[in-house]
Amino acid sequence: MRHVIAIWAALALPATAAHAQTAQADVPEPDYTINVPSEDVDTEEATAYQSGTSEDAVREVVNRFSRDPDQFTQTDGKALYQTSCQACHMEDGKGAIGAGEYPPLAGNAKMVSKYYIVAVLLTGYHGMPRFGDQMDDAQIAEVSNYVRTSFGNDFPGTITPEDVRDLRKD
Amino acid sequence: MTQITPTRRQLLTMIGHAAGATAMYQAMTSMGFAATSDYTAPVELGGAKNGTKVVILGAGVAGLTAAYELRNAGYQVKVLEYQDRGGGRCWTINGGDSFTELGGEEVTCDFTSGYLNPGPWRLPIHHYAVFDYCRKLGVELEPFIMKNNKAFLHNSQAYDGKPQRIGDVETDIRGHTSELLAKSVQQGALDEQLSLEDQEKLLEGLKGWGVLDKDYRYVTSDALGGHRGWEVLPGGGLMPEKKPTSPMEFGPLLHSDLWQMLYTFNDYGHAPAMFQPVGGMGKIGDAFTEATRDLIRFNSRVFKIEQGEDQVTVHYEDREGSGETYQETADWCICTIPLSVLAQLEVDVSDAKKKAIAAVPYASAFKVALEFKRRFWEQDEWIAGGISYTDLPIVQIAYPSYGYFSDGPGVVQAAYDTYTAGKNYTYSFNTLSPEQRIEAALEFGSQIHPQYREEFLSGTSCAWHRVPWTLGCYGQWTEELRAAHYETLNEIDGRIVLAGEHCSHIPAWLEGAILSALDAIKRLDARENA
Repeated sequence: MRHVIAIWAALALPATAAHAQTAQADVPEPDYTINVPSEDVDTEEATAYQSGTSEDAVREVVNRFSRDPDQFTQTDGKALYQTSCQACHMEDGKGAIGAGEYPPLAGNAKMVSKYYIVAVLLTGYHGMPRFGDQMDDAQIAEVSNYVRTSFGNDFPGTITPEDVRDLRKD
Repeated sequence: MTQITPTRRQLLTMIGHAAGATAMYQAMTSMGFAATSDYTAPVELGGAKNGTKVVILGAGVAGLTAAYELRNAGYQVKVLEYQDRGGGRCWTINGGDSFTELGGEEVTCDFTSGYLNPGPWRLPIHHYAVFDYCRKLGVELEPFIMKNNKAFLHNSQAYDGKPQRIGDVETDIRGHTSELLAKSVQQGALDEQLSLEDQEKLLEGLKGWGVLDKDYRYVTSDALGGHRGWEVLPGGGLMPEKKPTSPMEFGPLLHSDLWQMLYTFNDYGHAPAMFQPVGGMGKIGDAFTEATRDLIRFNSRVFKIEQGEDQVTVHYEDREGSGETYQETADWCICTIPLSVLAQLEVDVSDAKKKAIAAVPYASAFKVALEFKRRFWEQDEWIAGGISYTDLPIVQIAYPSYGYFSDGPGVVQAAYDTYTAGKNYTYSFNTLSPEQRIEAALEFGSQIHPQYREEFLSGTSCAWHRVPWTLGCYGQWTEELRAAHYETLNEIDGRIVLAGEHCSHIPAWLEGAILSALDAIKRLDARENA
């Protein structure tokens, strides 16, 4: 899929201000072409749904997705969280409870060890699939650091890509 | 108990480690416990002795298959179900339905003309057990169009993002590769592999197979029009003269990757003819539920399974009332609770079994359905049924295999994938709110069907990791996991046996759930009658 990334990069639209902050020089942040109805859409034909949809809202949604289906292309910890972990652990990191539960990441004492979350991401845990095949060492480090310092968390220590690489070998 | 020789399981695990799951499976076959996986005839059970009682956890298709058959064989059966409905993942969302997801958001459905099957949605002909139960339970079936040559293959980075017809791509790939093969034969490149007689036969066959001309070229001709279609169709009276379409060039077609999207159509599990229940896949779940309704206790959340020498006790909570807890004691327990949930419960089984239960991740999957004011895919593009594939995150658009060419609204399955395909879009779709999923389906889909925004009425969706009673879609086995845990997971542990799609070699399919249930009850019944 490498060649696909190259094509995406070549065709990517200029990044908006919102994600220029997180964009890295070498890997483009996702930026799908969007095609929202413009202001001059015939209002009689436009449904409530359409008229309630701003271009920014559509952009936010389509840019949630990676450019490469085999490997996440986001590089920022928060963006990575929002495109993967958030499915279960939710936007606020509080998890959820149904017939079983998704454990909260907010205030989760298991994360005192900086290696715990890296190991879980690399190998998966119970019903949670592994993400080691979809994120590289730097991405695993970024998202782990994000989780350990967000949702009210302030666990000490920083995970480096080298830490992740070493854990992959185990 | 001392073991001086390896158990069959240890032996198989060794074979699995050394030679892979296929070799292990072959070894299992030769050792006599994987002799056949086909459904050939209705299950025959010895029957219950003296009112033997079985408690079944989960009123999905596996649980209700077991309930239905065990009751017929004279067992006393009770089913505990977490939800207020039966059928499990064999489920259809219709207009007026709604449910609360994990995370607290409400999924609604305002459809007037169709439905969404969030889980299973089509039946391949070799899923014999499903068809037999449909016959038995009176579920009406109709054809499901899997492959429609008029539907599209779309790569946003090829042909300026213009979708191509499946039939064009397939005919052209076949034509161009036939021409290439014919050239190779004529240039003597296959002289070592093929005798002269073979070569003549091959050339003769390629002419028809690839629609080549007398010089073995794949070019525009009336003959090709008869296979690939017409720019101007043959008409009547004084209508214009017919004109064949022309092939796409080979190079760009190869590089478009579109022909690789034909893969699913050539898969045995998706080969024509496929079928679906009239009114949605939920009709199968409903039929099982109606057939066993008096055995089911709904809104019961199991939290603990204990067992002794000859009894098993299930502890559960009433989800409706004041959360009061109850116990159900039985001779046997068939547990079909998804492993994603079961791994979190207190279950009294061997350590090896606990490990197996905890080992299987649950696959990510999503679906979005959209209702439109009119069936523009039929009226504008002549796509009636079938599936278009795209490289965009919606992955595929499936057109309804019912209600063809009717006036008024129609419902399209506008986005769907599972992590079996390995694309991270499944995770990302599960992170979106119900409204955002609809927006994503509309936005990406309108690159294939520009009518989307104009014709849109409403949408609904299912993000399987947000479903409170499964926490994911299905057991995501790998060869390594199967070698290490599959047999342990399926073994009877004291008074407990597991069943469900996760206890089968056909994960995520109804057939897997049913075969697993039948196999589990046969083994329990054999113990009962030993």
